[in-house]
Amino acid sequence: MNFKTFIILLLLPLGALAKQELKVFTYGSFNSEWGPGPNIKKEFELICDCDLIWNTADSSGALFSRVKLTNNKEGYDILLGLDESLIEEAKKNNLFVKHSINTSNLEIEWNDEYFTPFDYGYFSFIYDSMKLKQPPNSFKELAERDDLSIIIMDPRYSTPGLGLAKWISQIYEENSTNFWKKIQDQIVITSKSWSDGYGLFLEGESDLVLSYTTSPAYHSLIEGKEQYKSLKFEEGHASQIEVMGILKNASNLDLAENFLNFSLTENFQKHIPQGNWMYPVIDLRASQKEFYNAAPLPVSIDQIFPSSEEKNRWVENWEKSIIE
Amino acid sequence: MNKFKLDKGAYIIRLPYFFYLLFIFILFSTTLYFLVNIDSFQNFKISFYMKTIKFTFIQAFLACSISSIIGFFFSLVLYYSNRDQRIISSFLNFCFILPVIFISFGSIYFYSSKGILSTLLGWLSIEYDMKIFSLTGIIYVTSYFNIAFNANFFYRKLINIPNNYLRVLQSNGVPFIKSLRLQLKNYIFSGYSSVIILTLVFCIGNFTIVYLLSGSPKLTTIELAIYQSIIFEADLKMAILLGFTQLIIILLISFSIITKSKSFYTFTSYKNSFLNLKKNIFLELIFWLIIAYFSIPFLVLIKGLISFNLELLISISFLKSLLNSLLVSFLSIIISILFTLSSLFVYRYFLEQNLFFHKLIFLSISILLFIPSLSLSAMIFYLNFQINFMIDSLWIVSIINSLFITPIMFIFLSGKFTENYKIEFINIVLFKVSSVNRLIKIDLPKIKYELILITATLFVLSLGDLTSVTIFNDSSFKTVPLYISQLYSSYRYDDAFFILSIFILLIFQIMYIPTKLIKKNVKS
Repeated sequence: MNFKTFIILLLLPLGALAKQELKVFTYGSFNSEWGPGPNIKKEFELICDCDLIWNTADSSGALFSRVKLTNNKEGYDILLGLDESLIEEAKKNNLFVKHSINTSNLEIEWNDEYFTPFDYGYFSFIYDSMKLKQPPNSFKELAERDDLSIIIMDPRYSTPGLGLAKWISQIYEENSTNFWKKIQDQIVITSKSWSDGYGLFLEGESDLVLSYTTSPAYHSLIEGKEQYKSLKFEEGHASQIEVMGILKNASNLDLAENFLNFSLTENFQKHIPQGNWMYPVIDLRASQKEFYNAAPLPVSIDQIFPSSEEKNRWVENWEKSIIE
Repeated sequence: MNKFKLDKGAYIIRLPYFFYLLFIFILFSTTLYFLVNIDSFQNFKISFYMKTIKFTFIQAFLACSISSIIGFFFSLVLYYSNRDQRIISSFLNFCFILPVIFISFGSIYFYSSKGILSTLLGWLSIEYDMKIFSLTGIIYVTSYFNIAFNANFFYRKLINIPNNYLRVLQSNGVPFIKSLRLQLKNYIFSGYSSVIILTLVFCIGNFTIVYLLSGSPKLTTIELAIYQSIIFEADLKMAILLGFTQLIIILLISFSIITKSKSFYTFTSYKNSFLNLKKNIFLELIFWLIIAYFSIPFLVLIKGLISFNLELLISISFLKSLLNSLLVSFLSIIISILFTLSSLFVYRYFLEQNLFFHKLIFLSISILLFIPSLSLSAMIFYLNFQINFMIDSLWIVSIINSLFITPIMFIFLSGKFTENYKIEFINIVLFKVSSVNRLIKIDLPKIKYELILITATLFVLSLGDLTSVTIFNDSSFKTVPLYISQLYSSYRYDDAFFILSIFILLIFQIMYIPTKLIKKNVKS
């Protein structure tokens, strides 16, 4: 027996003992100490006999870009954190495989063969009720109130930023650029990511910040601060559905499919409301009463699944207002 | 000069330099090939491209002008203050090499809407309206470093004025300012073109400050646009195109100093001259205001240390990022020393042989000073992409850092390394000293102090770098500056300021080591 064979034989039992790995690529806050990632990892590893490895990018905007740029040469199995606006583009790039998960019994209507939803939310502007006594009730009023400063996110790089572009396009259609122009002077910061922008709002850099209707629930339930509220717009609020999908060169398709299945169970979903501060996609009203009371569902406008062209048009409407 | 036959050792010493040349050649030719073979730019938006270039230059010219005017004014006040010149010069140098992330966060802490200044003015019922996340903030922080850089240049010029000249002025009752305007102007500004071009290059390659303080898509420099193209738009074509645009523009601007300069003025040693003036309260006040201006960012240390967090300090994520930072800096320095010594050896060989090639060696190394880090990152990212991401992020960041610091080390050491090279060469030939022996027993002891000083300075520069790591980081690899920036982005301000303070204290320690080492050596 030569030396190489000896070493291989020695390492064989170790190989047999090694657990399978599932590499999930997501945005940083999902797997932060306060995010749902660490708890979900524990729950999934209890049932899968595997190691769940979170890999993170700075923001949701950077996730898809990374996989697209590298053609997933880094070998991730699942991409978690795209939203419905990016689905069409993701499919076009031929980076994902179809799943066989049943998504018929969810809180939201969902029927997509590549992606499964894991949470949803509604966009809104957050304000400090101790500072702003008369908040605007509509986009129209917001644009008329020159005294109000706003922080938004860049629609090219951030999914909430793109969400606002969608929201404005849904409300104002052809007049979207005009509306963007009207509020241009009020926008004091256009941040790269939601967390950057939200942090600057908390540091007093603006009166309003683009976020979700669920954001005040975090301040109320975790910090005990009741002053942060979300604006309730007469026009209704646009929604965002966050999804995950299995990447084409996933090393273990069955394990990846198991994770997608698991993501629609209570053991995954119970960590969403007070971890990712979004609404779960299965009905958890009974067990998450506190959360739903602190973040009641707003009036919603129609959910749309845009084509790449539509998405580009939203961004262009915003860009025109900056360039001109 | 005698023709000198190279021994085997000389070839070994030259090897890193040739490896460096080969790497640069592969890098440039691959990216150039990529650039000429681009068939289409699907998402190319000419208006944004032009706006980015326009903004890059507007902010650079603004910061550069402000820095030179204020720098000159500061140098005069510092000169008039008649204080210890070595301390003042070291202080200005120190401010110049402080990590950008520290000055940026220090300025945010002082000038933001809930910052110290706002609170102070609030107590006095004065409305505060300055926005640090704006062009004003970018110019302010960019100018901080460049004011120190420019002030140091002028200050060194001023203290080099011969004492006799000053005595004659005083005995004839000619005011110093008048002589400055009429006689000294040409002397003071001689060699300033290289400083102003360097300042401009620093400002054009502005990334970290714009990354942290840009509050609008309108405020995007070419460097930030490269970052956005790679990270958010998956558009490597645009990143490479932007990188090349920047490279060509910077090379055009700095062409004059690359070809004319042998060394940068600010690295030369200085004599002392004193301007005997009576104490003037007004000047004293301005002197202390200047010190206060440079000290503003240090206030964040108080906030940071008050927010002491032991759990964070011993957390795996922080310790890992600290280890990565130290490892990157260590590797960068090692690579850089290898490249520098090897290229200096080749450079001196051509000097000894009286050949023109020494200018090309200087050019091949100093050209890297004018390629901003993100442009280089875009090119290396593409190269790594071509080889299926075979090279690890840690190595890539170390290589990029080393390429960035090598020209600085080369320029800093070149003067001392080639000192008396003609006489030395005659002796080397006479006594048949081998190349390896010459390097170890003659060259290294000769440049020992300079090497210690520049190694510590560049180690600190590398530690505080937040450029290439923004592109090449992943879950397992991040450095301390990135860790701080991510804490800040997650609105954990207290934690971010705490880690920043610990990091700066570590940097102070590292900067103190060479002083101690040199003192110890001098005593022995």
